[in-house]
Amino acid sequence: MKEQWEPKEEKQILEKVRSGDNIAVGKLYRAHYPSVLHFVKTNMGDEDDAAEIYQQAFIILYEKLQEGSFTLSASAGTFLYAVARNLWLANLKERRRFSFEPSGMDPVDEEGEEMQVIVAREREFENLQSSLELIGEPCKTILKAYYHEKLSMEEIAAQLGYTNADNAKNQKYKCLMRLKRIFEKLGE
Amino acid sequence: MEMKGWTEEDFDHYYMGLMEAEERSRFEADLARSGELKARYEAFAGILRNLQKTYTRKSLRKKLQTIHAEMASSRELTEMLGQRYRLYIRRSLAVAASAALMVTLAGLYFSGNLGHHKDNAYLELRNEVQGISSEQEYIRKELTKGQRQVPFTGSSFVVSSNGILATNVHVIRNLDSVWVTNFQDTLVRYKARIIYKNETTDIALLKIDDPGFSGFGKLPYAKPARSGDIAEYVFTLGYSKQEIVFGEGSISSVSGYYNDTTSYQVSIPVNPGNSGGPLFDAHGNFLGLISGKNTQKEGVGFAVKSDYIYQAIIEASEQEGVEEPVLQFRNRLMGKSRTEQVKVLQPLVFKVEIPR
Repeated sequence: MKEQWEPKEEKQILEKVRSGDNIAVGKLYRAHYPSVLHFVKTNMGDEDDAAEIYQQAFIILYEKLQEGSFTLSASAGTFLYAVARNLWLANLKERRRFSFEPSGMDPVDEEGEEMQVIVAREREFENLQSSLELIGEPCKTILKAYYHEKLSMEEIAAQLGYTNADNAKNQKYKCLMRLKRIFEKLGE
Repeated sequence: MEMKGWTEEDFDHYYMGLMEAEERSRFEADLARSGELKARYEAFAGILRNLQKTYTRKSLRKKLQTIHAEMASSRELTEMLGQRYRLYIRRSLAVAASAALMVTLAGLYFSGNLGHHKDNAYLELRNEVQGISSEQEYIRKELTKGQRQVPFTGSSFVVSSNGILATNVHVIRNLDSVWVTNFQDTLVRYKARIIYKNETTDIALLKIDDPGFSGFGKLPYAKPARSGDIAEYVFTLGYSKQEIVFGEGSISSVSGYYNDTTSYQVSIPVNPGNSGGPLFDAHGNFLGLISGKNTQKEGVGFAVKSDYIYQAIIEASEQEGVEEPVLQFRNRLMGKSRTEQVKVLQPLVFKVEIPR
C-alpha cells in the first residue's frame, strides 16, 4: 500500500517536515522506503544496507529543506530514490564489487550532475567522520562542546579541568588544526 | 591595498560570528578581492560545516531509526515485501576448504628481550612454528594426507573498512607478509602485508593486499569514547586452535604487566594463538587487543588498549604508499545477545597464517 500524494498534498507534508513535525517525518519516511529497499536488495545489498542508505538520503533531503533556497525539481520520492541509488552505487564501487550492470535502471540519470555533487559531498562528510575518530580525545569532546553545544571557553575549561580559558582555547585550536590536517590528508 | 595575513583563527572567528564589525568588513572586503583567500576560507568553512553536521545528523539519524524500527516491526512491511529473502554477499575468494583438521601446534613462545616484556612470566600468546625443517616435515605430511592446513601464529582484528587489521608484533615477527584467514560459510583467505610494527606497544598492523578483497563496509562495532573500567565485563574472540574460540571475564586492572598503562589486565583464560584477538565490552565497544598472559598466575591475561591502536593507525597512514584508513562505525552490537554479537564480530577476526 504505497501512498500516492497529490503534488499539493506532498508540498504540505514537506513543509511540515521542514518545520520538524515528527508525524510528517514518519509519514514521508515510510512512503518511499520500499522502492529503495527493492533497489538495494537487487543490487547486492541487504536490509541493513537499505535502511542505512535510505536514512542517509532522507537526511540529505531534510537538510536541503532547511536551506530556504532549495526547490525540488521532481517529487520527494524521485529525489530520495535517486540519491539513495547513487549513494549505493558509489558505495559498491568503493568496495570494488561493481562489476555488473545495476538492475532496475530507472530514468533518473538526467539530474546526474546534482547527484554527483551530492555523492562527492557525502564522501567529504565521511572523511570528516574518519578524521574526527582519528584525532581522539580530548579533541572530540572539546570540538563538540564548542561547535555544537556552543559552550564558552570558560565553561569548557571548567568541565575538562583546564586551569583557565586560555589553555582550553589553545587546546581547541590545536585540535581544530589537527582535524584539518588529517581531513586534508584523507581527501588527497 | 595591503592585505592583512588572515589566519585560520580569524576564519574561525568569522565563521562563528565572533568578529568585531570593523574587522569583519575588512575581512569581507579582502574575501571579495582575493580568490586565493576565498578558496582557503571556503575549505576551512567546509570542515566546520561538516563538523557541525556530524552532531545534527546524529540526532536526526536516531529519530529515523526509531521510525524505521516501528515500521519494520509492523506487519505492513512484511506484506509489502512478500516473500522474504536475503542476498548473501560473498566477499570471499572461493577457496575450497576440506574438512577442518585439528592440529594444535606445539611449542610455546617465550619472549626474548623485547621492550617492557623482558620477563619470563610474560607469555606472548603466539603459536610457535618450529624451525624450517619441521615445517618441511609438516608440508610433506600434509601433502601425503592431501589436507589443506596452514600453520598459524595468532589472531588479528579488522580495524578499518578498507582492510587494515591489528595484531601483535610477536605474532608476525620475522615475516614480511602473511595470510589472514577466517571460516564462515566459506573459507576466506587474503594476502596481507605488514605496514606497521611497534615493538614497545607490541602493536602491528596488516593491510589486506589481495585482488579478491572488496572491503568490509561500515565496522559493526563502536570505537569507545571512554576507557574500560575495572571489574567491567569483557569478552574476546581468537584462534587459540583452528576454530575460533570465545572467552569472557572482566577487567581486573586498568594497567597491565608491571603497571604498564598501555594495557589492561583481564581475567580471561587465554592461550597461545589468542594474541591479536579483540577485547570487547558488553555494548560492543572495542577496548583492546589481547597480547599476552602471566605464566605464573592462571587466568591473568593482558590486552593492549585500543587508543594505542588508533594512534598506530595514524602513524601508519603518514607513511608513503599506505592507503588511508576508513574508520566508519555503525554499532550493530548494542543491546544484542552475546550469541548475536559474536555472530556479527566473527567475520572480522582473522587467523594469521604463514604463507606458502
